[in-house]
This record gives sequence, C-alpha cells and structure tokens, in this order.
Amino acid sequence: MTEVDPQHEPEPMPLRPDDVVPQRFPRFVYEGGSEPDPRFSLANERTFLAWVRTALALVAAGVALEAVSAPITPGLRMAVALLFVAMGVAAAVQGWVGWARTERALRRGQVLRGPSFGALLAVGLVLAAVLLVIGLLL
Amino acid sequence: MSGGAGTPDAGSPASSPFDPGLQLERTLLAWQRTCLSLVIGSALCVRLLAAVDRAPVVPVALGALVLSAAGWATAVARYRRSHDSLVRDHRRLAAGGTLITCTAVAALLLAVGGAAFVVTTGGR
Repeated sequence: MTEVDPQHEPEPMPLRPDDVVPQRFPRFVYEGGSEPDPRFSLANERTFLAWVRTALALVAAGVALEAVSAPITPGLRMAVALLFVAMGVAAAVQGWVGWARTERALRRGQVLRGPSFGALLAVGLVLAAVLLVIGLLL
Repeated sequence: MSGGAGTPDAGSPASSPFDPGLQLERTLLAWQRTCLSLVIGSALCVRLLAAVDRAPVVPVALGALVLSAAGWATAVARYRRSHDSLVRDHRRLAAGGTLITCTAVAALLLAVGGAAFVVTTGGR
C-alpha cells in the first residue's frame, strides 16, 4: 500500500490562454465558481448512481408485488405497490437534483445540503413495510 | 488495471491511475453496474409487456437494449476522456452532466412503466 499524504491535494493547473473550455450541461450547475477537486465530483457522481439503483430497486419492489400476486388484499397490495413506485420516482428525482445541487455547491465552495427527500423516503419505506405486514396478517 | 475494458494500454504514458484511491475507476464500475441494473429493469419491463396483447415487444426490447449499450459505451468513453484530461492536461474532469441527466430520465421512464403496470394489472 502506498502511503497517502492527507495534505496532498491535486491542484488544478491554471488554464492556458489557448485552452477552450467547452460549455457543459446543465448550465446552471457549471456556469459559476471554479473547478472543484475532481475526486469530489467523482464521489458526487457515484452518489447519483447509487440513487438511480435505489430507484430501480424500489420500482422493482412495487412491480414484483403485483407480478407475483403477493397474498394480500388486492386493494392494499395495489396501494403498497404504488407507494413503492412513487418512492422510486422520488429517489430518481432526488438523485439528479442532489447531484446538481452538490456539484453547484462544490464549484462555489458553498455548504453541501443533505438529501431533501431523505425523510420522505424513510417515512414511505416504514409505511410500506407496516402496510405489507398488516396485509399479510389480515 | 491494464488490459481491461476501458483502461488505457499498459505501454502508454498515461497508464498510471490519476489518484491512489482509484476514484475514476470506482466511478466507472458504478456506471457499469448501474447500466446492468437498467438492462435488468428493461428486461423485466419487456417480459411483463409480453403478456399484453399486440404490445410492441420487439421494438421496446431492442430500444432498451440499444440505449443501455449506448449508456455503457458512453460511460467507458467518458472514463477514457476524463482519465486523459486528469493525467495529461490540467487535473480537470472533462465530463459534464449529459449522461447523468439521460440516466435519470431512463430511471424515471422505467418508473413510469412500472406505475402503468401496477395500475393496469393491480387490484385483481
């Protein structure tokens, strides 16, 4: 293992006059501030990807409940399945919005904000689990 | 890291990784497993769609496969470009948010498909 010096920060080199900085999408993320440490941007990107996989897992959970016709009252089963799918949508939106806000904050040296839908997803998951247990017991 | 998909040739001057934590390589792996998740999600979508009469199964399956493969290839190309930019040029990431936005849209589309399935077949 190579010893990693915690003081070692890869400094971005100053732009040369002939460097062309291409316009990057979305503009509201990249329009201001300065280039952050690439490792922070990469970590932000991996967090986004983790949210996408979470979204897919939540949607799959909802679809699976109906696809395998879980032994629950049909109305309740559909409600829980829709709850799972809605949380999947929320996770995907949270992933993108969180990525954009974090990247923007990194560029501007601002404080990073936590996931705004985090509490919503936690409450939704608990609710879905409770409804599932009730459905299975009924 | 030499010889694998998306990694530079061992003999090239830029064959060593950008940082000891292999952040760029870990990010490539995260993209690849997300692409695999999207392929599996699309496959499930197509499998469930096949039960519907006269559903456009083949175009949807081909479209999902091509889009997922394009996502994978773009992620690998993005990795190579970022590696070159980080190692050779200015320690700057040559990557924007286009692929990220497309991936979020793909996940949302799958979620809409899932909602449609639950609404149309649920409650029985």
